[in-house]
Amino acid sequence: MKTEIDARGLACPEPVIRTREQMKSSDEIEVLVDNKTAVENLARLAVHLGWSVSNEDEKGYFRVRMKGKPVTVPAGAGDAVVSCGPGGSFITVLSSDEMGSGNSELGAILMKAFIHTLASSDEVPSKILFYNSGVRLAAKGSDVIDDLAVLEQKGSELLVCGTCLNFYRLTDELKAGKVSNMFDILESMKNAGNIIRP
Amino acid sequence: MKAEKILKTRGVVHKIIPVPKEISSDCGVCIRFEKDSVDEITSALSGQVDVRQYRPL
Repeated sequence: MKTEIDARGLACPEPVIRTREQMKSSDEIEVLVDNKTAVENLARLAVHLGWSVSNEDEKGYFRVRMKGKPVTVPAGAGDAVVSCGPGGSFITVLSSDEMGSGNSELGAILMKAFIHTLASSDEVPSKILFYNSGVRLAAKGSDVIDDLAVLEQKGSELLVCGTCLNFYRLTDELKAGKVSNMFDILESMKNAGNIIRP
Repeated sequence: MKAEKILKTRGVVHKIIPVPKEISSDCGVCIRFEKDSVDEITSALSGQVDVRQYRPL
């Protein structure tokens, strides 16, 4: 029997709790939710309990289809697959042209490898902030301009500290992203779900 | 790092990338380059750098 749950407008983790309850008596459920985090949480719940899951992007909301055997075990700690964080929203802060501290040459190589890996991943940061010597990565002479172009193409916004460009005399040498300021840097950090700082 | 310096000095187009996971799961880095440069790179690095292996991607 197919059951539909309208979980639009409900705060996390309510959509998951209602769905989990319904999974005891149904073998096919369609859940309507209005945010990506809920879609991801429902997908994890389904997979965890051995159900198949797919979702469709309707106009303004998502329809998550789940199929499987009614779940007989009561909800427990094993169901802790829910993440109510902003999920997916993360930014990357490049405060140096080296990754980690220690040997500078090693740090430079690691940073190149890091940025290449970031550019190769499916999920890219919503923003990448460059400050202090990190701005060198976005300026002429950088070996990662091609990776930064890929990141921009995939949707990352590149914000480069203007004061820092000026300090390193790179203002006219910017090759990726746009010049930004302390206000934008602070706002970006405040609004980020997660900050990755290599 | 030495190899990178040599290639940079010679102006050979290359890129430092992490070693692809299917080759090794170590936290290694490697140098990616165009197939056409293989002879130039092999001769530039021979005797200078201990090259683990050349692998096509």
